[in-house]
Amino acid sequence: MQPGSIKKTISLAGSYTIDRAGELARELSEALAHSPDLELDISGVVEFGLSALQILYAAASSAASHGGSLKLVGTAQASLCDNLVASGFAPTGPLSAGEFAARLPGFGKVAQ
Amino acid sequence: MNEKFKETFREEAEELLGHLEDILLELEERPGDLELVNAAFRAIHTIKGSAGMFGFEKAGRFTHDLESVLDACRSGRKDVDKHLIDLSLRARDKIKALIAEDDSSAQFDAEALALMEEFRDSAAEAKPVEQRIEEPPAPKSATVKEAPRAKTKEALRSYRIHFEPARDVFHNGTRVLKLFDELAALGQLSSIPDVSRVPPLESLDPESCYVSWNSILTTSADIDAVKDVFIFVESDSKLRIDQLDTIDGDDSGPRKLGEILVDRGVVKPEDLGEALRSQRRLGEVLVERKVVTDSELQSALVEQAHLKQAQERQSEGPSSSIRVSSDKLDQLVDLVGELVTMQARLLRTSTDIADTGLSSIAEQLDRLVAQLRDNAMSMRMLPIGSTFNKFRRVVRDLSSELGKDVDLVTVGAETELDKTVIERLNDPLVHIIRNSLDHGLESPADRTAAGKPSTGTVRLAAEHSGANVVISVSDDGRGMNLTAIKAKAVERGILSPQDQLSEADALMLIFRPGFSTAQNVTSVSGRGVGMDVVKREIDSLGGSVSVESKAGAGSSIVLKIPLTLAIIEGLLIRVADEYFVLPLSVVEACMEATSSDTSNGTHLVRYRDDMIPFIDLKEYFAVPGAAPDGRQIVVVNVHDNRIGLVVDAVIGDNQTVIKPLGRMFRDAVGLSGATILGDGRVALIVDCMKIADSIPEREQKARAS
Repeated sequence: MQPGSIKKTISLAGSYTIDRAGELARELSEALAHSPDLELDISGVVEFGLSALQILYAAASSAASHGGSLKLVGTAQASLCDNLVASGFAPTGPLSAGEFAARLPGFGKVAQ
Repeated sequence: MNEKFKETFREEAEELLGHLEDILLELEERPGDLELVNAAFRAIHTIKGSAGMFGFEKAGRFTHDLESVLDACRSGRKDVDKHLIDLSLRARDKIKALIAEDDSSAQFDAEALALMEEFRDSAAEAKPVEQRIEEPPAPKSATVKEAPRAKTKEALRSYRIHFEPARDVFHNGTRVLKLFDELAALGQLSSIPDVSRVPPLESLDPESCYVSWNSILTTSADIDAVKDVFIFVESDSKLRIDQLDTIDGDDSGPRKLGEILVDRGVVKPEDLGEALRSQRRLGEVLVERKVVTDSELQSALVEQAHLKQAQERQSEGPSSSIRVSSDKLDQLVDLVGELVTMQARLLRTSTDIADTGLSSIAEQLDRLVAQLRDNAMSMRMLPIGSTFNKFRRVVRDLSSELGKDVDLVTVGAETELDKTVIERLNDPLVHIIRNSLDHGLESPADRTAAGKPSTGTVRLAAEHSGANVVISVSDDGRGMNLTAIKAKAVERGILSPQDQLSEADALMLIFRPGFSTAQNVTSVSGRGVGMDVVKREIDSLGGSVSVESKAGAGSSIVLKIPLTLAIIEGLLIRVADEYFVLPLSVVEACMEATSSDTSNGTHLVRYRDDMIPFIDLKEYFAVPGAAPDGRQIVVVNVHDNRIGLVVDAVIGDNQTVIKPLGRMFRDAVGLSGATILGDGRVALIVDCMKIADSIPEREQKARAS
């Protein structure tokens, strides 16, 4: 498969706490190695811990620096959003994944 | 003077006077409580001040003497005693009357003059105070000095919290995001995460923390409570908590962005001055010149917005409420009622059309309308406690008049009921309480002789029970004398001497018109009006009354009242081409009517091993047309009497918005209102209580045997 030719979609599901951080980071790195254009379907996600959010930020920043983009698709469940309200990452949900991504402060920018 | 202001004053004075009454009654029990004396003084002072301002000069003048006496008590120059409380309570009533009458030109009546005289004497008795300046007795427009404010609102403080967790914060299991939930629980929180240090995925350690936060918290909690949130991470993470200047309502306005940035140490004052000179949006300029980063600017903007919001909330007060005239609420409920009706029509039409898109809209709208209905209804709900307080006064005055010692215990004052229902319950409850005090409770001597504590207890309790509120008035008096009740009923011709009545039925005799068993007619009760009026009023509220009594141990009267009068759950039925609604709360069962049931001439039908009387609604309401085959009997239960209502068809349950009948139909017996059906037709609401009353005694007895 040629890099950059095909958009890959990964579906995430369940609770992403620190225990699954390594696993998630690996999965996204591998996917980004194939193509900098990546879609993440977050419809099944119940919770993102801070570690998982950092990985999303990092992945989005990597994708952008390689000329691609990391796009969130599907729906951000109410439980997912509500968990992130107090820390300023999200408004109360449910939201479309696009809206969710747009409200993540500084998401998708290339890290300095 | 603008009539609207007067009306507002009247409402407020009404509240204050109600409050004053509570205070005085409490003061009677704890005469030494200076806080209460102060509260009473403040209440009367406010009334006096605003009465003068709104042109109720007479009330203001009258209040002045009472104020002087309370002032003397307040400064310890006079003691609070029973006489003073008595006097103050009477004066309170008089002030209320004066405000209601609103005629400042008229002379004070004898009672008012006497009261004022007494207050002046009372004030004169007070120990003199050094250099006391007597105020002129008729202040033209009294100035409100140190206007007693409602208890100062809890002071709110804002904290700026900078939190940078240690890189390895995840390792000891800290769930960083949860900390913010804890902060949010303290008050109003705005957080802005700084993610600029998160590296690209290639160089990210998934188990390290790279994010930091700037948060603003506005809370009544102190700084220690805020620090406590971070107690487990504090040592190895960076945490800075600064208290911002206290927000007060009359501050100069929202803080400037520049101030916030300088305050945070992000921008140097000289940079700020330069940027401000460029006449463009400060934020843009600063970011452009790389003085601040985007993230720093964002968090400063959030802080500004947060503080502005907090300031607005502070000036509104933590739990703001507005006064709305009950007419407007009634209108709202009325409109919601129309909406419920239209919604039923829409739902029905959408089912007929069978369009999935339309059906789903209709269903969603149905949910919304139901919420709106509950919401509109809840706005009319008031805690019954406001009425309970009035009864404290009733009990106090009556017990001293009757020479009995009585404690009033109230339970469930927070129970909510429709405003109209509460208002209409007032008189019946007064009757019941008077009866309890007068007939139920014995004199202290009799009580001691019977081995009871000399102080009697009247218990007033309210609680929710399904769609009803149950209100009970119980006393620990002598209980009802069944023999005397029966004898009286015979004497009054209500009962024939041969009649055998169950205990419960005999007790219900007290609700018959013209019934009274008091040995001697007192000014309090015993005129034979009262309990029948109570029953009528409760019936008209759609409620029920029951009595329990135990000789020597007391009696209790239990009222069961529906929560609201405006919308009921109904059962829709059809008789020929006419539609009727039966309140679902009384419906017990539906069954097929066989022709032998309805044509055997006895007007009795078998229901669960029992014979119950029935009424053909077709005959009762004289609906024209021949009776079809396969009719239905709806069994309704009215005050534990079951009766069958014969109808042509049972259609189903129906959200019934009750509309009053027009004047023409006001005297129609057996109908309590009308409603509009989903298809626009009118259905009449059947008053099952009235119909049950129309059943001849003979059949009632057949049922009993």
